[in-house]
Amino acid sequence: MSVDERLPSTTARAVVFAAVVGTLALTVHDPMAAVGIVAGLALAATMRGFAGSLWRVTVASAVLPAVVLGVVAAFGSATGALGIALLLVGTVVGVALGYIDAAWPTQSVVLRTGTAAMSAGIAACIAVVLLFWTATVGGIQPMLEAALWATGHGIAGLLGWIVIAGLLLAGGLLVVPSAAFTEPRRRDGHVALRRLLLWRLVIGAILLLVGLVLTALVAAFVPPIQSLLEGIAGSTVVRGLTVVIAVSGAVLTVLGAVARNSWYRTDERGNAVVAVVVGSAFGVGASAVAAGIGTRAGPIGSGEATVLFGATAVVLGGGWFVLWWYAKTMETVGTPDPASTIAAGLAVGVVAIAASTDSPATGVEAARTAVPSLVALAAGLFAYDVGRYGRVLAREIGSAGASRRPQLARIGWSGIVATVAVPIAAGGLWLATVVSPTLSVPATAGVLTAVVTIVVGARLLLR
Amino acid sequence: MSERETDRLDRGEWGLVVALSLAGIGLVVGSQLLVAAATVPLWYVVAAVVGTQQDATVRLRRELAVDDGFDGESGGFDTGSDDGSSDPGDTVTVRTTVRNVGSEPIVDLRVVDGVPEALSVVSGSPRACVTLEPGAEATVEYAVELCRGEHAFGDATIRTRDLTGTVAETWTAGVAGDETVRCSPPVETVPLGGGTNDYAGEVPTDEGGSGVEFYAVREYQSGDPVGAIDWRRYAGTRELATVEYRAERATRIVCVVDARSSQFRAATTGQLSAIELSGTAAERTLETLVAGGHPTGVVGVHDHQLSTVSPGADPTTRRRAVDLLRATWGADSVGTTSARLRQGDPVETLPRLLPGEAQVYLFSSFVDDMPAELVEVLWARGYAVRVISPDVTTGSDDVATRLEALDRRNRLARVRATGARVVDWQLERPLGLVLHDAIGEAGDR
Repeated sequence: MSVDERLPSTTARAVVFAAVVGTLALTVHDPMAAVGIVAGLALAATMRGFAGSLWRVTVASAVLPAVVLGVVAAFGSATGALGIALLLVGTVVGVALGYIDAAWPTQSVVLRTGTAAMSAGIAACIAVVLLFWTATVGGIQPMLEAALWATGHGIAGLLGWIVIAGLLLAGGLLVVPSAAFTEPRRRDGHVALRRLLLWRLVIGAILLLVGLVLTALVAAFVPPIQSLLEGIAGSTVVRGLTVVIAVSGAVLTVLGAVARNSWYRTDERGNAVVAVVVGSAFGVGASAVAAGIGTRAGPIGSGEATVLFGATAVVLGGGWFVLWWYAKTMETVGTPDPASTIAAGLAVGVVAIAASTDSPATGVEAARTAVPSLVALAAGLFAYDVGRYGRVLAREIGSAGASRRPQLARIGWSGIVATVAVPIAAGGLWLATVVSPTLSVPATAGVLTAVVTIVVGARLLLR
Repeated sequence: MSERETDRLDRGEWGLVVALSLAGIGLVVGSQLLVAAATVPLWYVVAAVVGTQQDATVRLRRELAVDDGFDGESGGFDTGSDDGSSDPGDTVTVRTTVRNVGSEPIVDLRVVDGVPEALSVVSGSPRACVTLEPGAEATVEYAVELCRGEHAFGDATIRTRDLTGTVAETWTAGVAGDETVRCSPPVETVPLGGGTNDYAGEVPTDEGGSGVEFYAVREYQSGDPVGAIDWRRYAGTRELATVEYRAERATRIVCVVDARSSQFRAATTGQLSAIELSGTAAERTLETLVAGGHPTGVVGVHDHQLSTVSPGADPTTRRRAVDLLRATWGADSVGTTSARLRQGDPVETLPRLLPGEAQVYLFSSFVDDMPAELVEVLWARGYAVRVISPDVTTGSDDVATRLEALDRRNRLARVRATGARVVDWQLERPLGLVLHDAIGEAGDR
């Protein structure tokens, strides 16, 4: 039986409270921390969708590229190293917050998310090509026209599209596994129906080709037929119909090939590759359409949209690799604890703030500017301490058996320790800067060493 | 009560590490802020140091109450239940009360009741963490499902922590009150083997009684019905004899569907996986058996879990069984159905869940050893087992698949050797014919 890793609800709420307080404290220095939290929460919510039913997986796959696009855009808008660092910290804290009340994703969910990232990455690459093409030819309409007449004008061009559409549609019919449509008891019927459809498609295409060729030959001698033929060959509707059939056939062929390959190799229940591919394609497509509308309306340029999608494709590809590596090693490496991740994130945020800001202030001003950072650090330590307590409680008793009162007592104790620590640290900083405005680091290190010695000595005595 | 074991769980090392790290980084980057911030984690070190041992004393009492019925609700507490007998599948509600008999409040008291290993907890939790004032008490309530045998509840494990959470004291404490529950049906109701129960039904058995098919003639005994007397023999020999007919009994059938991850492979990429084939076959089997009036249940065997629907012939059971079957091979999780879930190794757990007189229909592709082991265990315990095995090793000529097919045939031969009836389902063969072979004689012994 698997061990219950979820924090008891009261402890989980305390950790969430600490994370919010810590992030707000970081936001005082740069609002990108709050943006990061939102991005992280969105990523976590999306990842949790991959653990659900096929419908939820489809929705999560569609949302994932949009969320990553948003995160990439947020990173693009961050200013300075501190902004980027706090955005990153906020994102990590947000993801951990999203999993505070749930078990960490299993290996199959991580792999499924990685598949969605790869699928969305490929779709984003295609979107980049289409956006670049659109920008090159001067808009969507010229691009569509170029596609329609890519095989050439006249009857030969139409014949080319008919051949391509027929081949792709036949490929799609052949490649899609029978199991996608039918039960075992009806499989033979489905195979017979597919064969019939294929034959009719082949015969129909041949008849159409032969008919068109014969009509073209006759048209050389009968001028009215010649004009009729030119009308058909030059018709945008006819071309559009053949191109739509060809694109549908290509999509069906790719989807069928992916499903067939994945189903053959699967060793998990509920293979979700179709849901992932369809969802991510829809998500990237919707985002690309939104980007197209945005470029026409003016908020972003077409070049910016292309770069944004390119960066998203790279991030999604990198995300696939990281998730794939993590899924392979998670049994040996273990899964991170959300509360510890939040604590580490807040501590890194404090270090980033301290390393990137000069502190010429002294006295009360020095203490005042230091308080948000101290609060963020204290919140991180509180989250770690309480999270560790809750994890042991969940392991020993389980979430169902843990009542609120002992948790509240422990949370209160840890909160008191954190609350006492902040004003004393701020006061110490104030006193140090007042006594010696040019506080020397060696002197401070000496004081710190003395404090550590006192604590260790007290502990030895109490033992 | 065992000796108390005191542990210091936290010595504040992590706080020291964080403090030294922050101070070190502060020294490197020349940040006064980080050096000042290094004092914050030191307070957690101080908090860990001041933790002290608690002097807690508790007293525990346990009450057991047997609830009848497979899905029955708690029927109240009956302290005399331990000397009665219960049937497998009944649930026992356990209430263990812990009282703080010391003079100090216990901030963090953790209790784990001593549940017998053989019994599984089906609701509630035998574990609790509470805060108790002096004289106050708390109750741990949960229910266990009975299996055959006598089961003794053990001592409870107690752990207390002080306010700082750094010092823990652990010991085992005796529990007053009920401690044993027996599950041993009376001898006269124990089936003598085979796949039938004592209810009248349609299945012919090897015993005489009321029925339509001739079974035997025996010497007349006082009280035999007049209509059963063999008057022809009496006319010829002047000896009274009684004609017996083959008794017909009902049977309970359980369709066991192998839904482990190994069953998600298919014969070829164009065909359905073993679990889908097994699920479809089991569903049709269920429909046929229930239509014939045989109480039928379903068990889904997952990697470390079993999902069960108890045998029945009523529409509700049929709907629950179909829901479970579809969930085993569909996209839905079996957790969303009304089936009961049990954790554990399938080979060990399944025999404990089956009714004693059930016939078992096992649907599995036998691409690994577990189903063969399961059949051997079931057969050894007296269950009649029939196997319907979709062959997912045909359709490909590569060496690996041919070797796998060979292994599968060996496993099926091993199962046949136990005496179980095996239907090897070649996929080109219609499902109807396969099932006719398997259940055409449904219920025959």
